[in-house]
Amino acid sequence: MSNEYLLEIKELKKHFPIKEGFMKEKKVVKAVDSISFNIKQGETFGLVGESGCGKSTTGRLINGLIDADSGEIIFNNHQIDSLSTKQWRKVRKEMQMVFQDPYASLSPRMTVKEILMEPLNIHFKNLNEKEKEERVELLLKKCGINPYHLNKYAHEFSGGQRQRIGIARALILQPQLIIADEPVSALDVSIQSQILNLMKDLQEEFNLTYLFVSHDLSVIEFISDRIGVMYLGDIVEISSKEKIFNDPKHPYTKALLSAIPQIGETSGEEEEVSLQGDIPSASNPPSGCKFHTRCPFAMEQCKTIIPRQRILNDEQTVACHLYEEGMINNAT
Amino acid sequence: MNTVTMESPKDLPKRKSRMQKIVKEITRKKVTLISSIFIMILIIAAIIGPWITPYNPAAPDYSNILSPPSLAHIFGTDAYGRDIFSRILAGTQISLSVSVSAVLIGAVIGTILGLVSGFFGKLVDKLIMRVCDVLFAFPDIILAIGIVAILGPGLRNVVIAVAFFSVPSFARLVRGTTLEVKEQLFVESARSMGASRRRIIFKHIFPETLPSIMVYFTMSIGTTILAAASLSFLGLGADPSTPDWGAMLSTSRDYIGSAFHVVFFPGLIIFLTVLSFNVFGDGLREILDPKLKD
Amino acid sequence: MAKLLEVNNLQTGFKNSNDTLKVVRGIDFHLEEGEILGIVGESGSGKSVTALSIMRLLHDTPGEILSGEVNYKGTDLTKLTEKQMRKYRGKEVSMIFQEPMTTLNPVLKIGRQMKEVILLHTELNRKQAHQHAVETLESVGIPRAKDIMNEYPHQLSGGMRQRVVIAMQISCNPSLLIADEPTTALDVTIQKQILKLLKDIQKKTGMGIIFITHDLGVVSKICDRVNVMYAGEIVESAETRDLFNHPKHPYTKGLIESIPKLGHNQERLSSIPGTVPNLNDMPKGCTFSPRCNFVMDRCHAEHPDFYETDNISCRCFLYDQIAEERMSHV
Repeated sequence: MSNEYLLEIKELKKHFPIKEGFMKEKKVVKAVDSISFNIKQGETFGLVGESGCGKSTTGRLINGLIDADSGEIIFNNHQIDSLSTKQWRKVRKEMQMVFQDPYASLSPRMTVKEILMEPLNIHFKNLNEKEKEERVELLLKKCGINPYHLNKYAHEFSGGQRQRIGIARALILQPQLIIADEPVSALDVSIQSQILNLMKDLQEEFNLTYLFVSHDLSVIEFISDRIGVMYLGDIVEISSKEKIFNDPKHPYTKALLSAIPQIGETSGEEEEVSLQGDIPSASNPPSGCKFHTRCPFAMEQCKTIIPRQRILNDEQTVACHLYEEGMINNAT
Repeated sequence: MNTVTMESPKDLPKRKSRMQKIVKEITRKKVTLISSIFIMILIIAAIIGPWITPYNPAAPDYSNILSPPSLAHIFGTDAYGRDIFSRILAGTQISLSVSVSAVLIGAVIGTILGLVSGFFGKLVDKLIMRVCDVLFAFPDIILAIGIVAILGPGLRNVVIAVAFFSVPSFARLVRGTTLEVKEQLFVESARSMGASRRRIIFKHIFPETLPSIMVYFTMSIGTTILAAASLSFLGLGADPSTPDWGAMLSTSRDYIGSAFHVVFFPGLIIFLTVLSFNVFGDGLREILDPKLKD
Repeated sequence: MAKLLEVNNLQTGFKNSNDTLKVVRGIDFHLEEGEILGIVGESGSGKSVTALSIMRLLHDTPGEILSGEVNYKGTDLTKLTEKQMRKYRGKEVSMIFQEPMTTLNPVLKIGRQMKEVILLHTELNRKQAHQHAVETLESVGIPRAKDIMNEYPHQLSGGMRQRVVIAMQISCNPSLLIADEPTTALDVTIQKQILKLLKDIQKKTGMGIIFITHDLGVVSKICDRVNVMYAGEIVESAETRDLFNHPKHPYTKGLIESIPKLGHNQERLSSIPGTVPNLNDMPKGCTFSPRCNFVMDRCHAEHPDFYETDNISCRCFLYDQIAEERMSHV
């Protein structure tokens, strides 16, 4: 039972079939293509990548909103993909989601109170009304919403307030893991920082573990302890927060970092890794290393051989041929 | 700075109850307002009608046969000398209760089928929808005649027949909305909380389908009153002696040449009732259906 | 440098049955020839409505220009008839939207849409227009431009679509390009390419660009000068470098500080408390006063004017030196 990992993902895979016209061969979108990573108790693991890289699908797979094609999800030492519906529901109590769109993720016909009571009605049937209400009020306060608003409908709140309600709903069952799927992407920057701070505070207070999914590397870098970088359904690099900025390994990570417009930096564009071309389609990804079509360091073998995850040190794992045995010197 | 920013109550727009808003919207459009007033009168008539009739609607008065509208009998009297106004007033209860109960049964069954069909999809959906298609293939009234013919005449069987043919429309309507709502994020978020399927269907999807059900319900009442009246007219519904609107038309159609009022007033009231339910339903749709608004 | 565009006291509002909600509440700014001017603000700040007002494209919204002037090369665009205005759009003043599909017609081939614009505004014949379209597409970095002419918009990726829109909008050599969040829907690596493209085009053609965005990072990369908008007003205006080195207005400061910065290992982000005020419930005095950390009594009562400090003009009483001096004399 001695396991430091709260969540272990092993070779998780999900391909979505797409129909393309009549009589054409069936294609699949390789949304998540055999990824593995672990999340420690109490840490924040950030998944970052551009649109279509499979980061949101990963979150949904773990939460069981979609079924995986293959692979293992081990949560709290339970292999959850093999659980019965009933056991699954028990596990699910420990794992809650916060969604991107605070406008669409709260039911338009329920009051704040009803929204927050619902998880309790599902999982804590033995609590009486008063205990439930107390809990709702406490969490609303913790999330910065005045309980005075309990009987209002969600659409009467601003985007930031709604996301606070969304977070309160996720926390009300006292879960261990929160899967946050782009929770601040729909918000203005001044509100975004309020929510990010709130999430950090709550993590400390309730000893939460986060899987934080975002396309914004600066948000991910702020909130995460460890970061996984995804590209076209693969995790290309897993690294600690410190290393990802100071010593990124994978050429894609480097490009991503340099593409973020930072305030006040005078652009020395000549030295930066600038990517040419478009992101290939996930239904027809390049062979070998999927990044080789845009990689400034692409070699012959990148076109044919799929790079394996290599553990470089305690803090960094990378899937790139540049870091294969014997290549390390060339790369650095 | 470990404090969480607290939103002050002032930041929020003032709250108006949903019902207040709907009532305000209804009063804004004239036709909707007039039709709703008429419906209100009908409902009151249906409740207290039998007690406030000026004459006994069933008692014949052979000294006053087919007398035209006058101060004593504002709608005139029929072939048995019964006061037509009293009969219409008393008949409101029968007509409304027949149609409301028929549509209610149809709506409940149709909604459940539609929810199940839309939510579970696949084979269940195909099965339910094909059965609905078959029922749709028959004209409503023919279907109803067939059912009443099998079950035998009578108001109870009219209710069953009318309910039967309104099921598929409700099922299809609700299925459509269900398919749409099912994919929405707040339904997914309920699933992610571990909500059971039953809870998702009834707590999250059903409320979303309610507005369109309400609109269709209102409009169906009009249609159903007409259908029930038709069945009675054909002699398949109410007993000719009961003051049912359709039956009144049926029994008095022979006098249409000599005393128009015997047919005119029941006909008029059926016409106005159907019209106002339809107009009201239309108005209701404009208010409740956000898609139509923009 | 000559002034290409001058906006004076522009007010734009949305009318509903009872009253008018002012979205743009009297703004003044100008754009010089060959300059990239940034307008930055959060949602609801009125930055997009400003752009639509300049283009006179408000008819799709219930909005209308209430007062003010938009002088483009000496002509007040607000006074033109719709017919006259049409001659300006596309030829003199072009606009790029956040979502390329608002500009592109999904059922027409790209070539046809490109040619249509060119034929409308230039003297070129069909053949020359085709040639010009291909050249323009190539100039915005579209590979196999000839093939793309025969494709439909949905066959392209988001980044490519935005390039096509840019090509379309610059094909008639406008002097002013308004870009409304042109990179917001794109991924960062693609955003970088588009930003570079816009900068290159600007250098090559010397057109003036108004770049509207919510992203301060993007602004700092591409703009020469920046206007910061809050609640329908410009609150701060300065050269990009000055603004980001020494922001003056508490809102601008708060905004810059609330963005997580790479490699800074921040424990917490500073944030601006509260939310943007409602249009129908604007605070008295300074619109930012309810959220401001430096708020004074005066801010609740009076509406601040622009005050100049260190090359920055800023709508905030903190920089009202005359008042300060008066205070110190007392």
